[in-house]
Amino acid sequence: MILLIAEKLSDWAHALIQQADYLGVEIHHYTPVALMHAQWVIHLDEQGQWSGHLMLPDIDEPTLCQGIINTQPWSQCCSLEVGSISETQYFKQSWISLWAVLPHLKVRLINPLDLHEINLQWPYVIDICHSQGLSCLIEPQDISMQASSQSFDQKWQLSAQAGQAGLSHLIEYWKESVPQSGRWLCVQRVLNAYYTSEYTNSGPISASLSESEMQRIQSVFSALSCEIGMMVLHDNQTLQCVICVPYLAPDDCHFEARGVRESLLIHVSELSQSDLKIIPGQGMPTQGLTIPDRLRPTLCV
Amino acid sequence: MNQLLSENLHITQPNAVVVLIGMLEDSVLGYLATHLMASDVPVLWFDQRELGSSLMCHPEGWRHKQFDWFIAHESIAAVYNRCLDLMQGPYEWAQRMALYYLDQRVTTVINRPASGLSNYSKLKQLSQLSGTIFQRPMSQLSVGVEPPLGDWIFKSASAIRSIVHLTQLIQPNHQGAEPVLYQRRIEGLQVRVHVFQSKCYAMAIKSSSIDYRYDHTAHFKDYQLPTTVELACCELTQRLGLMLSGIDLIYTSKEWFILEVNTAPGFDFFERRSEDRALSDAICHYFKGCVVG
Repeated sequence: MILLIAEKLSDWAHALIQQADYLGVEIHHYTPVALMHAQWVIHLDEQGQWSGHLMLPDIDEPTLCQGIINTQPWSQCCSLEVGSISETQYFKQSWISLWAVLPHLKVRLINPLDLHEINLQWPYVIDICHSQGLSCLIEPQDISMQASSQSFDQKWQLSAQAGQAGLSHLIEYWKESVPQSGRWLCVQRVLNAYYTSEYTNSGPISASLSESEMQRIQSVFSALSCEIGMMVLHDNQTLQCVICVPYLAPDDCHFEARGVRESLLIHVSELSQSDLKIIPGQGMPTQGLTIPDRLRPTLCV
Repeated sequence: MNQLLSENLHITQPNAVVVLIGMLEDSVLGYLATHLMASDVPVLWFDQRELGSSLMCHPEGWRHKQFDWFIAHESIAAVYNRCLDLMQGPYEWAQRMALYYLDQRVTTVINRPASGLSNYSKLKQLSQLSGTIFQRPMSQLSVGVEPPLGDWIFKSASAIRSIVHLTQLIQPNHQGAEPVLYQRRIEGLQVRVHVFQSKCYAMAIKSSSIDYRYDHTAHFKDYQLPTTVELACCELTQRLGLMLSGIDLIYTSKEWFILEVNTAPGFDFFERRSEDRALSDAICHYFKGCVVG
């Protein structure tokens, strides 16, 4: 089965669930808070072997979780009011530490977790970009690209206004070093399938890319572990810019949304069920969400 | 140092100053600053909390509005980084920008922010410590389940500091809403190793408590590691991209177990209990060599 984590179901998430139903893929929607009622056990033995299980609140047996599609920045998911700021930080960090090891259980995260959430992720990406002769901006917040009639500049200004105050600073900094010319491409990778569209001032159109251009894009995406990005392709066929937009939903990019969703689901469901070892569950928690008491290590920050 | 900060500084000459960055009350920075100043190393202290408000990191350098000083990136010979966590709020972006420059622009940083990430998930880090002479304790990261039966300890799953306790102290039916790391208890001699520039500074700790850091009766003694263990510690430090590490080991008289590698070690705690100041002397000596003139 696949977990879809979203605060509420957007249009695209509804479409994703419908698509899953069509394909016969089991998909469950949980809000971040509801998922915290789940039991997670991840085990690393002395020989370095991984095993684990997940028990969801409304499913009374250990669950084969092949993939997690996360549309929520975990920083928001985990910012529950649990007390002081340091406790909130602890709460958030402890969940990040769990997500970080899920790939060892062959649980596919459709979410560039390592890039986006572990606090300092974007310097990593910038580092990779620089090593490839690229300039780079990582968009730290979910942004809206819905205003398709707007020019690129206007769109980015809108994004900047909608985002953190710091975002405009980043964009201004980025503009200084990236020429505002060339073809603007929006690329989404769902595992090994690529979906590209080209932005013009009159709106998005299907991108027509040569094989060499596509190879170049694929190599950058591979190096970045990037799933959604925007690039500027210049006449000399060099990529000048990569923007990672981790939480942009497929429809927001004006992709062939059905194709993206289908690939996403198929690729996640292709993972062998035997990849995930199951150990016996220990019963469901009887109480609701409780703020940890003695169990939580004493904070001494 | 405060006297320096109050002046109108404009530093552009290359490799002129060593920067300490972190919280003003950070004991490691305070300890190191004392040693650096005693060694006549020019040092500035950047308060992490001022980033975005008074202190700004620009493409060309660092600027402090209140004190009206400017330091070019190229003027920073080396940085000792203790920005352990980003502070949430409107200036988080400014911290990210600063850490980016520590990763990309400054020649020498102990330790680069990107290299410090491995300890953000202790279990993930443990999985990266394979292929050495060290054994790893059986570990379980879980949430919402009863603690494992038997002799286990539990602690923070992330880099956020916590006090280590025995799971027997957990009262029945207490379940957390957040992941906690459990590890099979290993009994033996606890050894803390700091590695800097391929040299190990080890200390053995005897304590009746699970977490010796909070045991006022714990006994600390400088300790000579076997060469094979020293080499393994140096290799791990290099593997994780660290200039300075703090490695927690337990020796059971048969095997060496590794618990974790601290990427921002609080080495002052141990050195204050040591017979010498070898590690801080080494860091000071290294920083002095980074500064020109």
